[in-house]
Amino acid sequence: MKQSLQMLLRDWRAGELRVLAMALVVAVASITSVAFFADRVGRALVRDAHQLLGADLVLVSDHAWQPGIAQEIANRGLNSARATTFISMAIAGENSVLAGVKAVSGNYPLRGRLRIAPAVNAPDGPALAGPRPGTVWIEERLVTALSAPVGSRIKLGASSFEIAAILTLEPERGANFFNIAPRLFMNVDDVAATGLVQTGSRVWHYLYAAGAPEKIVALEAWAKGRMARGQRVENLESGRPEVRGAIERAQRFLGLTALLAAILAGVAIALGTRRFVERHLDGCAVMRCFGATQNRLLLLFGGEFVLLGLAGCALGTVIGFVAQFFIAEILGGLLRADLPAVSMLPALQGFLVGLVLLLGFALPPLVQLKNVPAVRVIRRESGATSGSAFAVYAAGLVSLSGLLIWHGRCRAGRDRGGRFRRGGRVVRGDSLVGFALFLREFLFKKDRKEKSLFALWPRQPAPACARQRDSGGEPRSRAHRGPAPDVHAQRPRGCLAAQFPAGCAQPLSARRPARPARGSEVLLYQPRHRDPGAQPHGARPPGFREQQEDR
Amino acid sequence: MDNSKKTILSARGIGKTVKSGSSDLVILREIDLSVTAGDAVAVVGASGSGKSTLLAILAGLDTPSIGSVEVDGADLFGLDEDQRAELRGKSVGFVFQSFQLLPSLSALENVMLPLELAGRADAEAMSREILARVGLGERLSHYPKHLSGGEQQRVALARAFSVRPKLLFADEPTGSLDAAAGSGVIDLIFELNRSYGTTLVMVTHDENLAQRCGRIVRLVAGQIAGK
Ligand SMILES: Nc1ncnc2c1ncn2[C@@H]1O[C@H](COP(=O)(O)OP(=O)(O)OP(=O)(O)O)[C@@H](O)[C@H]1O
Ligand SMILES: [Mg+2]
Repeated sequence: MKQSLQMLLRDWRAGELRVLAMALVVAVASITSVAFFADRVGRALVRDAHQLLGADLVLVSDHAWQPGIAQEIANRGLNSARATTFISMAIAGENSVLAGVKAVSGNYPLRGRLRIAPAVNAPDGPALAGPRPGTVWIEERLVTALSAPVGSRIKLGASSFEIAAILTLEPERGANFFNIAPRLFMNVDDVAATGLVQTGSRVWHYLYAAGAPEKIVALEAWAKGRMARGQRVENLESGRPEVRGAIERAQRFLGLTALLAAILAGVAIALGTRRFVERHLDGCAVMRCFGATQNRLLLLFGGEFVLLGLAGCALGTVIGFVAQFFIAEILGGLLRADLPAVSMLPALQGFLVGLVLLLGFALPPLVQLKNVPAVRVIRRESGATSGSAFAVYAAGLVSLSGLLIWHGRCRAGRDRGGRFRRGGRVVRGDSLVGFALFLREFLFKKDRKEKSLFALWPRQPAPACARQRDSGGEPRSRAHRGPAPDVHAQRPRGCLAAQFPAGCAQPLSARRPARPARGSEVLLYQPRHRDPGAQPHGARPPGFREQQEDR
Repeated sequence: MDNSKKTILSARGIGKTVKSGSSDLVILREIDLSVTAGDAVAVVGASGSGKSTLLAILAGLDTPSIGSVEVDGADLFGLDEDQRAELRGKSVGFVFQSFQLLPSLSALENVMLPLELAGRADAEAMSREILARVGLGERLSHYPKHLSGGEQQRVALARAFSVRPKLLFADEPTGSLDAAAGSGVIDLIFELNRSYGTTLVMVTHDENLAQRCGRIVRLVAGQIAGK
């Protein structure tokens, strides 16, 4: 190792390694900066996505919850909140309007915030707690329909309430209110007094839980086994599939960028190594004359490259770390959200990818170096460079296929997890089309490879959207539930714009027949209705939903 | 010296044939040669007569098609490639027509290289000393590209002698030098030969150099002509 270090310093001083080191540093810097950024964006997306759910996990029931469940959530050290939704006539003087009532506990929502305003058209702000007992918050539409401004009173069933604020944002709803009943928020403790909820009423009961991810996972597993008829567990994926799809897209895009950098760097490293090998063939032959064994040469140069790799990757990681701040600064304005703090995982990822790149592209030609015959010192043409050029190309090919196989394994791992299912790609037509498809397949694979580079460390559950796209555009069964929901995506303030990229917003429109061409890559889903208040009268009978529940 | 009576290098029945196209090309045939320790042997002959090939085989850099070579009592071709390399590192030095200095190493580091490969802790001190002996004590940190041909060959000589080899093989050591630089190098070779007792085997076209060797082996078409 000491001699490798000496060799490294000597070669560095002689300028033999600069191109190589530069390629490596650039590769690692671009991979890490993108990984850092993607990681932060990913976590911001998940964080904000949970705001759209109002919690980390939601339990939904069409009848009152058995008492043990809420207790269990609390026992597990998780925060919990509850809500009840139903449809009721709201009456103010002469006027009456059907309102979608949501009665919530004081700490609702656990993730994100409701926003309220003191009066119509007044600036709004986040609500720190739900409505106090005896008060309601109503949507502006309700104010208009009832001619009931803030401060006036409305009647719900047997009780009367003071209108305390205008509700301007309910992140959990995530959809606009055209064909659904306008929202009315009240305190859950007031529900009993209204007399509106009786056996047989169409009421939904919600339990919300939030807390440490592993506890949530445990709770989810626990709860799934205990759901009675008419009850279900919703997580981000099942509750808001569109968000999951957007997250996937954003990460795929960022991953592709890093992949491109990695491929270019791989080529640069291969070329740099080739130059290095050509310039060291004579030296190696001389060293063999002077007694160096093949293993000795391999260790010497292998060690030199490992040291170079460590130094280059470290420098690249630091540069990537710094660069991601600039990226976040530049793109931060577009994202309209605070990114979470940097985590160190991407540094490790970039570092390791850099080492794999260097060793994958550089070690095989270095092996060629040790094989140089000593007789080359006397007869120059022995061990000519054509052999080593071939070796470099072969090595590049091998490492590239290695990466592809590696990636394939990762993907296969995911397949086993049932997360992805790739539809068969039909190769047809003449050879040109075949070649084009091959290229496409190749690129597609690389796209996935990059994802798997980032997926070396399991971080987030795999996407729901990919499943749809890959299964040839068949809509999910649950997508057909209920009348066409209304899905003009309403983007809650403070949420990432990237959650609703153009490609994703498109299929949000439920007015389009939900059946794109087979193989189409359009993301397909319809947000599912969780809220009976969001449905017009005469919706399906209760129980319809249960039949299609949980495949 | 008791050393001087010993045979340090002996070759028996060396033949080298290479395939060229459909026919076999005979480069060397039936070479028998033995060299006594401390001697200086010049191998001369026309271009293409097989001098370099013979030298490479004697040094264990190349393998013969037939025959055997013993260096310092060890059967060269009974050893594998790595064992030969170790033997070379221990007891053999080389000088080449094209110097073969490593361009990324300074003069001092080039001389240190064989010593480092041998794992010598005093590599630097020894190298400084021998570079001073070849008259380059002031040029230690210079790179080969900044040295003249004669100076480069003197660095190569210092490198070859740094491990105090028993045998020195040289392939046209003066072939790339003008007469003045060449004779300087020749003087140096014999001076080092005297002070270290090194056995010299040199391929050369240089009459001046050949005449100073105690023995001349003439190769004609791959065979030794007169002894
Ligand atoms: N591996 C080989 N394949 C084919 N031909 C070879 C090989 N090695 C040597 N030769 C041929 O053998 C002959 C002798 O080569 P060698 O280099 O030993 O000659 P030389 O006496 O050193 O000549 P010069 O004085 O020009 O250096 C040459 O014709 C050369 O082309
Ligand atoms: Mg020759």
